[in-house]
Amino acid sequence: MDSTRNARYTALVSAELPAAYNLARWLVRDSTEAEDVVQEALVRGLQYFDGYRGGSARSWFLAIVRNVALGALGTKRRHPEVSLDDDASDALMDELAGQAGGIGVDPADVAGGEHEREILRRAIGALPTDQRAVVVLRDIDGLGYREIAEVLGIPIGTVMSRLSRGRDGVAARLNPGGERP
Amino acid sequence: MMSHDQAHPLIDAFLDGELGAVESADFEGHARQCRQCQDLLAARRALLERLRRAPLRYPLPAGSERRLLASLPAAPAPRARRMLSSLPLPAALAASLVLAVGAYWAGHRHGDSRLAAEAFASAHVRSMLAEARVEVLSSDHHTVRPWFTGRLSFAPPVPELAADGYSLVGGRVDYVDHVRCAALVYRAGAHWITVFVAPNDSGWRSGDERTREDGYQVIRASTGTFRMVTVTDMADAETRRFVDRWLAAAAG
Ligand SMILES: [Zn+2]
Repeated sequence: MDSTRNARYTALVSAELPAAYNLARWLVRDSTEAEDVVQEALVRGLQYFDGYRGGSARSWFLAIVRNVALGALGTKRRHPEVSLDDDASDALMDELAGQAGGIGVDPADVAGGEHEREILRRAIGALPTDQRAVVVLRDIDGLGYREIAEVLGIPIGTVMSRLSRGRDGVAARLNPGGERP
Repeated sequence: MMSHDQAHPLIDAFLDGELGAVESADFEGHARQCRQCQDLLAARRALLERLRRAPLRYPLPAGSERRLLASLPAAPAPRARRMLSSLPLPAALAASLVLAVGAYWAGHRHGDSRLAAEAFASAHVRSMLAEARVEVLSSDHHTVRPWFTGRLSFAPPVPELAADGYSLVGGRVDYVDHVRCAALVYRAGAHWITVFVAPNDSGWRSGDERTREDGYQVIRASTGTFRMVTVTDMADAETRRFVDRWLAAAAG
């Protein structure tokens, strides 16, 4: 019977691997560590699989990924952080802005899509973890508020407020001279 | 009438289509007369458009799907039966089909004909478990085909076969036999048909062949550019007819 259970599980989660990796990569900010997180989530998911009662497989599996990723972050916090503080990130933003000819310019004027992507990734990457998770799930993965609430284990009202603050934060970093609402 | 302080926190939910009809109308009523909200809406729309246009997603590193899935242990599952009995009846029926069809999935090797056929049959049955059937619901190939853009590295053919009695239900992205592919779902009366499509060089085994997996037809064919694998519970002759029509329409 073990092969059938694993078969059902593999069938369910294999389609969610790209979203799982993307979320993990955004949360732990490192590609190797993100793969480790997904691998650990796959193993844990198999252990919890008997508790899965249908519904969105994506929400169910991403919630496990989120748990594992936050656990990994908690471990890392005990060690000194590298270049994730605001000053370092601002310096990097300024450098990129210089290369791209101004960070608040029309994206059409930015030379190549690479800089644009890097600028936006930096702006999202600099958000606090809780806001970053919501912005990634909504604005990159396109999940609905209810699904996001399931993945993160928070009320929908909290999804709304974190998303608003997160988008405010991204906008402020893209346009540091602009007015804040 | 909604005040600005009430409206302001709703801007993002309004733009994301997450407000109810009444709240949404109230918000719009306020925003029409509030310069501040109009400015905020315009700025937010520009930001969201900019985020949408950039490929911000981190793609899975090459080969990691296989690595990750291979890392799963073949652990015993003493409670599998009990879990089935707790599912609602139709789901339990469908799940028992998955159990039958997917029995060898765990030991399945790339390119092994029989096991690969099971993988396709399993993916078809899995999609019949309601929710995951289609991600884009449309009978119009002008809607379905562009939907795959950005989700797949290729543009699959999406033939409309309504004139032949097969209605297009929609499509989704799937992952079958180690390949990220398009899954097109058609319906013929009470029968469901899934057509999996990937480029010729994607790694699916080549050659045209037909196998039966637990009551499902699994038919492989090629358009020259694409491999297609059809899975359905229709009768043999009818399935062959469908595949012929699909290939002809995809070529034309
Ligand atoms: Zn207002």
